[in-house]
Amino acid sequence: MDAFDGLLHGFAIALTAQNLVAAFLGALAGTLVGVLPGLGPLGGIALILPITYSFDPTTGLIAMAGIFYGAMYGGSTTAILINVPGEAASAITCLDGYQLTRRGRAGAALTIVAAGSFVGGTVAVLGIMWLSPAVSRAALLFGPPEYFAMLLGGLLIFSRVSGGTLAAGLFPMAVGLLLATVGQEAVTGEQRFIFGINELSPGFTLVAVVIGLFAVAEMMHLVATREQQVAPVSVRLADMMPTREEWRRSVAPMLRGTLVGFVMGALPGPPSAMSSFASYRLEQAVARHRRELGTGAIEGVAGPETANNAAATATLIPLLAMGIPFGAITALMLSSLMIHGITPGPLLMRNYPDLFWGLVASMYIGNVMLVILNVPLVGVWVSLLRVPQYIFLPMIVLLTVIGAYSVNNSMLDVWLLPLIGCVGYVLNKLGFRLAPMVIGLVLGPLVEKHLREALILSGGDLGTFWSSPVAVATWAVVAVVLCLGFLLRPREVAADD
Amino acid sequence: MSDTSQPPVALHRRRTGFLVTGAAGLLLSAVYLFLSRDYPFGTLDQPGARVWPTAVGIITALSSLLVLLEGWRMPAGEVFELPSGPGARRVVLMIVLLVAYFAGMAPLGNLLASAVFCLLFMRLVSPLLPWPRLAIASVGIAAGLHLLFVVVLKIPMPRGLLGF
Repeated sequence: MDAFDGLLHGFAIALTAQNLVAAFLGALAGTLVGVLPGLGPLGGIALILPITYSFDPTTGLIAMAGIFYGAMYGGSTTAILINVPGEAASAITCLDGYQLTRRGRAGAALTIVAAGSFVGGTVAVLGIMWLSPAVSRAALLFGPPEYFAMLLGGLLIFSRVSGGTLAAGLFPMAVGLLLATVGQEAVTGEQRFIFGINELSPGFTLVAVVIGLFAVAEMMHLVATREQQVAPVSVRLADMMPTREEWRRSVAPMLRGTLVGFVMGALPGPPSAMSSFASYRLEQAVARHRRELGTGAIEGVAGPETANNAAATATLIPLLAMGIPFGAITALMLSSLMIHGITPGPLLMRNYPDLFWGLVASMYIGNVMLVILNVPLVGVWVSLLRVPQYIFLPMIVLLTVIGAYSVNNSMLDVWLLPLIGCVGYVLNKLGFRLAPMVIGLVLGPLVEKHLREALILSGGDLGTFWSSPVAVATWAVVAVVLCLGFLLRPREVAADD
Repeated sequence: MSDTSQPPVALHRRRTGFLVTGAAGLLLSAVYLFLSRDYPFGTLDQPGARVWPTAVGIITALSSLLVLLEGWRMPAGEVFELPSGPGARRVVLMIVLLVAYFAGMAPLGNLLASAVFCLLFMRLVSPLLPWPRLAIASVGIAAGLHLLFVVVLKIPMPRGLLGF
């Protein structure tokens, strides 16, 4: 079916009551995760992920996507109102967003964010619709050597562009790969490194690792510092409407942000955080009022927030069309699909049209829901910021336990939480990036599978790994990025998406 | 953004942190490579279960060496923060509470263990609040989450000796 027929089919799927509720609850939960500082989208999705296992795959994926782009929106609310980004991608929004709040323009900034997020998200969905079939067709030509190159190359590039020094990304990635070898391996089914503990047979549970690394480590930080949020300002509905001048100044940054976000989202790396930083840089270079950036310019809110939503959506292209997650959140989505027995890849659209087109259509609906949820209900989100820490923290801890336990009904996963939390806490304090560890854990088994299949199919010829243009091009890009890593010290872009 | 008083933290040399992490990584990779000898290497055309772990062990060792190198070249003045004093005590107590919570789940069950954990954890976070208020809040949170996840969403959390 072509894109238009596919979309119509998708709307028939997405408009069922069950999937509408999933999109709504996903967007709602995502906004909540984004609004509450400390619990980023990755930790938040990991907490909620086990609930989606009880849904059918389409409904579960729709809910997860809703959480993802909902979190991207919600993160900006705290950035604008209290100068605390709800997630890494909104860090840059603090610069101008909070200044706008101090000038009494918080409501207008939030509306511009909602509009930008809608534009970025919706245009990116169009991109998914039109590009995914072509990417899928191209990916059908890939064999194990090409997949091996893409996966290992993507892994190396991701760890390099996650920010920090070269070792800060590579070391956690290596640890992730190492953890991924624990349990039953995919090719011959042999058990490795389980030391007689049968609960380790399925390997380390991704959800438990992610919750430990991000949610528990963040709880430890909050308990240690007892950071209190400043009371947010009240935002009246009457103050939500931007002026004509603010609308006019926001249009071009939104369009530029959409383009930047879409391109960066489809590439390896922490797409949302990097795209919002890149969009801000672009505004600094080309915006007509660029001298005002940093002092409360609406362009500094419109561009980055549009970009991070476009990137969050575009990052689904490599996942759905090739089965390769280029970010930690899409890696979680991949693991969720695999639990349902679905392997995303070039054949996904043909074999699971309901899932693919249902998801695409639901994202249109979800973006509308986000606007409805966020603009008139901003007061509700603001009031959440007033929940005292002694209520909020134990609730999150209980959720982490439920989230970790419910995947395999295993207490081992629960016991891992404090252990992994301590490791994540210290590594984070030292400046190591934790998202590459997650990607390593997810992609490790896939890299091994394609490595061994390529060797078997080629009769042990190592030349098979650079025998095709795709593989050669991938290795060349990896080499360039890693060499640049030795020469350049990248800007600090801490991101977990 | 934060409360008026600075949280108590101790500054440590980041260089030392990197050197310790790199050394731990090297040790980990050595043990891992040693343990991986238990699995068959196979041949190039029929690779066994040891091929990938060998590659991963080498990657881990190399990245650990890189951590050591970066630590070695790091200026001595670079520091990182870890909690000290009351902040560190709270983190340690939090971990102790978590361990007690997990250990108590089997005999007490999820609901009761969660309520007790909530109560003690709330006291740890807000020591000035009165016990009755904390007790009501902890029961409310534990019961609310139990209702949502165990009763409504049918997530089978551990049951205790009392059957819930």
